[in-house]
Amino acid sequence: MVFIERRTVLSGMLVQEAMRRRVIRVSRETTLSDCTNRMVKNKVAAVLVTSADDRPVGVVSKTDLIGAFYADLPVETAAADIMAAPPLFCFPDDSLESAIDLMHVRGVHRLYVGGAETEPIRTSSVCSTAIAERAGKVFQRGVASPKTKRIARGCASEM
Amino acid sequence: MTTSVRACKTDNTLAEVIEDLTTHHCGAVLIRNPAGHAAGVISKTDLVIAYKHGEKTGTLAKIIMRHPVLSCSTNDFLSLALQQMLLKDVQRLFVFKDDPACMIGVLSLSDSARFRSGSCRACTSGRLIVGA
Repeated sequence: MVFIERRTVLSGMLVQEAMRRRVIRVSRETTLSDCTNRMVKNKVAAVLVTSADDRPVGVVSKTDLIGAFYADLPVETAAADIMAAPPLFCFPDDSLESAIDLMHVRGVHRLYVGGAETEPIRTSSVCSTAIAERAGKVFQRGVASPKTKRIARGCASEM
Repeated sequence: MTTSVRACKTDNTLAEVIEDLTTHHCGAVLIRNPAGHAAGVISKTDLVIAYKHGEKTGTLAKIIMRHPVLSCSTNDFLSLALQQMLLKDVQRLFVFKDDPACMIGVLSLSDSARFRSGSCRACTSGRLIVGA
């Protein structure tokens, strides 16, 4: 059977080679004003919202803040009121291409990386959690969609 | 570079700018003056900071836009454009062809990295491997 394999310089790379190791976290009660401060100060596009027991429960991105601005919500609103939940995860030993595919399919710009020693959704330590945000933002639009891949396979079969 | 440039006018409100950014999934819009020339840029970061500082959605774009517009020519080397982005701590440069006031595209750090990585579509077609 003839098939086409797409290869780029990303082929063979793992998530852990591209991810950021610093996660900016806020609590559910953090105000949108403080979220803005954290984003601007740390030059990130989103912050992870964690519960009182340090479980990741959601994400507040610049897009979410702009939505709040558009809706005339006060800047004292709590992060939990506008966060997107649940956060999406992958593992550090996942292939970078599969992580990018996941971001593409789910329409997000970042994945949080859960440590292999913990359940992804229960990741609690900063060391075991990181963001593949940069990779996602950089390469997201260059990834072939599943539909494109099916078409490519179809063409290959006809060869 | 991306060859379509999203633009608003200096008299548009921030609400209209937000609608444009959201509709077209972009990180920043060019702000043109009444003559149609590039007058400034509003990014998502600018909007978030405006929100924090208590601006209203009815505020005019010209109040919070950043200017001058950082740009490069279509004939500039990519390395120089990247250097300019890194030195000036911006995510994108607007690209002009002959007239620096008339932008014809946007070069972002993402565009550059995607091209360099070989994950852009043009490169992908050249890297297909047919196996059996």
